[in-house]
Amino acid sequence: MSDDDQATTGPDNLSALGKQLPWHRPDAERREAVRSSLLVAVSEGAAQPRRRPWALVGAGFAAGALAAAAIVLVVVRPHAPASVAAPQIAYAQIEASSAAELEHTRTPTPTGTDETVRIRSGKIRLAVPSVRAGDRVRVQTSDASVEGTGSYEVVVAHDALTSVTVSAGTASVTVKGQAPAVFLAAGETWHAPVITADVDLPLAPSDPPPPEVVPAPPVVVPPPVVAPAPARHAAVLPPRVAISAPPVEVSAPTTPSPALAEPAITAPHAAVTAPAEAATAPAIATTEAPRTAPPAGPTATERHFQAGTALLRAGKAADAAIELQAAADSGSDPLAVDARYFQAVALAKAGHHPQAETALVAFLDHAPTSIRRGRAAVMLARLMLARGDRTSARAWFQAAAADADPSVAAAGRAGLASLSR
Amino acid sequence: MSAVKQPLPGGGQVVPLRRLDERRAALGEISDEALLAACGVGDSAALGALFDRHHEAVYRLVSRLLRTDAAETDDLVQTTFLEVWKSARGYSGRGSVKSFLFGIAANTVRHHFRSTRRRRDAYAEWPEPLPTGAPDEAAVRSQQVQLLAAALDRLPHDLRTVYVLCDLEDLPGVEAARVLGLRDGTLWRRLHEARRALREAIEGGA
Repeated sequence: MSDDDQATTGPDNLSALGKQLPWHRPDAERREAVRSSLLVAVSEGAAQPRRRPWALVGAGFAAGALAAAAIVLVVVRPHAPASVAAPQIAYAQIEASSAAELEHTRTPTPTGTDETVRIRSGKIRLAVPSVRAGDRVRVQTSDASVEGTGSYEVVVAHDALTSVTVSAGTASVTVKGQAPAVFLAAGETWHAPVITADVDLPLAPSDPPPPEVVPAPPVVVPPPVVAPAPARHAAVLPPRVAISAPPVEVSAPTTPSPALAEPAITAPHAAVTAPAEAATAPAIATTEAPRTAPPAGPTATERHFQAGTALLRAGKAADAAIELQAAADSGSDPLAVDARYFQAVALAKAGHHPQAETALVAFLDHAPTSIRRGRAAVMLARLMLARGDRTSARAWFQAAAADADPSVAAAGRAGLASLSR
Repeated sequence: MSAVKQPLPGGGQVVPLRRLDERRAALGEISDEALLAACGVGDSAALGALFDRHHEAVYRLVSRLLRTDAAETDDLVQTTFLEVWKSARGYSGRGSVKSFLFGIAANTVRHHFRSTRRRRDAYAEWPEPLPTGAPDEAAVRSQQVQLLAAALDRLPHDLRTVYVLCDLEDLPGVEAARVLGLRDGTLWRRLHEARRALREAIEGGA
């Protein structure tokens, strides 16, 4: 190293100065978008990332148009009716989260093809060019269907449509039993209403409340709203999907894990916490009849879960707990994990507090990124407090106080305040 | 590590991540080398874990090697990890995995830089991208940092790469030379030239 390097701005100073240079630190969404896109590309065996889906779509259609023109020039059949063959490739370009469960099928119909993306959970982004007359491209869940052209994002949880965000073009959302369809333009988002809020209670009414515990804030069930999407969604087909990959870290069973403090919000919460101006966005309704495809048969987990939540809503908590336990024990998918949470709710309502505590611990142990962790933590803390375990209760209240959901965080802080008095 | 190990076709062993996951082993127990080896046999979960561990460093490196917009940075980071996925079997164990990643990232940026040079020259009059709103940006906005950033932009890419790897990412010179495919003497010469140019730019502008 030369003497020059030892001057006032020596290498160490230069290095220290250089380390202050700003750089593109990715936020959580960008990071997850890149990560998801990367894993999708790897799982598909792609040599290169799918960074320019529109370019691919455009190139494909340009090639198709050239081929069609060549056929028209070479094969002249003046008396035969012109029949356009159905495309041999799917219309929809799909980017899916690594955790998404979906089937992509194309079915011939008398008028063309019916291309269906049947999704049970996860987040997908579709780029759909204009389809030939007679063809259809739609996303199907058990409770709704989405059909549109352009670029739109669909989020599904437990086989129920959660949200639709249109980046470019238009899309229509048709919910079963809720005609008419809702049409979305670019920049608009549709959120499903929260349907489990009425059973999402922190403690059973019969349970004696712990001292100075602030009751859980009421959860309002909003109607479906169409909200304007953030400006960044306005660009034509953002190249990646943003969704968390399956967690690989499991928390300790009786102590809060760092994951609890991290925001784990999915669309159902987004519906609850939608900005006020979202509700004022115009929703253009039409009289178009809902068009749905027959859903696939429910799995055992789904059957037990639906029966359990129905019983819970009907006030039969003990019976609900049995059904929900069956749902929780029948698999390890997200629905089964959720079933464990609702089993705990049912047990608490039925007055079986030790069992409820066990179920909550099991839930927290298996759901490091669930949106219900915060509520489960508050619930567990209150149960622990009720039986006198203030130390454990404090730990769970502290974890809940760091939750991204303001109502959960407030409940956590209230619990801590009650402990300090 | 307590997990059962599997022999690899090309020799060596790899820890099956999914089995570890089932056993609820902490992710931190798995070494970078084991993750890279798992990538080599097609375990995408290992790539996700590697990304989780090193994406910030790669983002930082890419951002400093090529000052561009966030979307292009995302693309380059993604391309880097895809290359890591494809090249995982080629990891010889010499040097750290981080150095391996940095080498791939540096090459990815270099290829990108060369392929877009013509376009950049054509749009040389375009305003430079504004720095994004990083949390610590207020502290960064000193005059010297601005001068350094400007000087770094003017620096030839080869010198810039060496400076960023050695001085900003603290990669040992020997490893930096290896991942860049340079002789040690060449690397030290470039580093010296880079430092001198940057120092002159800062002192001249102060």
